[in-house]
Amino acid sequence: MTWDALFGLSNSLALAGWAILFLAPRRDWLLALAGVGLPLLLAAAYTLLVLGHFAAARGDFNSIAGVRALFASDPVLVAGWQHYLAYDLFLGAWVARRLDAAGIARVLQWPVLATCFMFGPAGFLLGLALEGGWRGARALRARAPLAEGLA
Amino acid sequence: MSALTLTLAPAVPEPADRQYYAGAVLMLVLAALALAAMAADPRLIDGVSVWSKPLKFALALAVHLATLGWVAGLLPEATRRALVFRLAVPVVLFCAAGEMAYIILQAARQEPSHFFVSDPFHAAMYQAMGVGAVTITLAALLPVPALLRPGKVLGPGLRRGLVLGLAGGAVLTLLVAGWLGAQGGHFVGTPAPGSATVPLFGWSLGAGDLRPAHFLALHAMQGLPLIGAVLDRLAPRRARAGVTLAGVAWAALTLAVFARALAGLPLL
Repeated sequence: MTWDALFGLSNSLALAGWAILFLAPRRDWLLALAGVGLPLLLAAAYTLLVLGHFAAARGDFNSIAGVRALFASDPVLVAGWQHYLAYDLFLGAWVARRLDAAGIARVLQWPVLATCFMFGPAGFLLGLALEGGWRGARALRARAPLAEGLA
Repeated sequence: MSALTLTLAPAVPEPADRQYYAGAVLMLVLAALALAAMAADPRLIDGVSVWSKPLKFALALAVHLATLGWVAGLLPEATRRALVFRLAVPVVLFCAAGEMAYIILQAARQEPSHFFVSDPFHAAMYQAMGVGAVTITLAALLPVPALLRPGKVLGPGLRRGLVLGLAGGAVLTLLVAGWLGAQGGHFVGTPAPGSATVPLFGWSLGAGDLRPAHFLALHAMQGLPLIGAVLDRLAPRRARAGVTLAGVAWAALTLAVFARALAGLPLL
């Protein structure tokens, strides 16, 4: 398999997980597949790539130039991409579970999940801010119910 | 800290229209992010921060969604459970989130979102934003028939304020915003470079600007119910008449501001 093919296969695995998070009914086994099973597959592929190719790659983690040099190696670049894919998907499933538990409708989860998918840490921020704000608003309402009708 | 524990208690089931409030919370989060981005990102469009528009739209949508959620809570149970009402909630939330997604995307690219039709993609997105905005506005009409029927005990001023505010606000908004969209820009005339603007809102004080009329039209939906609720407390027997008067005045002011802008005259 070429590195390009492995890259494409990794993308497809991650996309399957995202399709579950966006569209599938929320079942425990589906969430486990998207949030644990598929990330684990990516983690296994990542681990094999790193074991086999990291030592041969030039570069290090200490500077921009060092990291750029690491990514000059195709297998290390694919591994780095799988790192993104696995953790973003894991995060997306975690956020989805939390928003489910907070009672937030899927239509409002979509923008959050889309942000996790494209820009993982920004989605993490958005998801927790939404959950926190919503739980805070509900706690406030429970303490001082909005005078329904203000009458 | 309970918000970070991994085992989560399942949510207490709530009526679908409570999701309007969750949508309002999402908009407030986006407003906070836009504010932070404004401080961190010096880029401008037409002389104002690229994040000014996402901030204003997020705040306006937060107010609008919170209003829809609040009004839904005032309706009789049967109305809230009606299919059209339950379907409207995700549709409106989808439109609101979509508007914000595109506005944020365009801001990040330092490009306008409205009136920006540089290529087929942007032209299609501008069209879609129009459809979304009309949908969001029309959603305010859904509760009106139920508010006209005697139902839950509402103050007479509040009830009339809701009917006039929601119906009048929606109609005036469609009129002003429709014109705004058809005209292809919010100015009538060209403000001189560096001419004054209304702080925070950014409306021009140097040329005709259609945005103040849009603001007044849209926020009749909050203003008139609020006036009604206040009159219910202060002068319960005159509340209904007072709200009607306020509604007429609000509409007249909106149309006057609109006409002034169309004549190319600045707000003040």
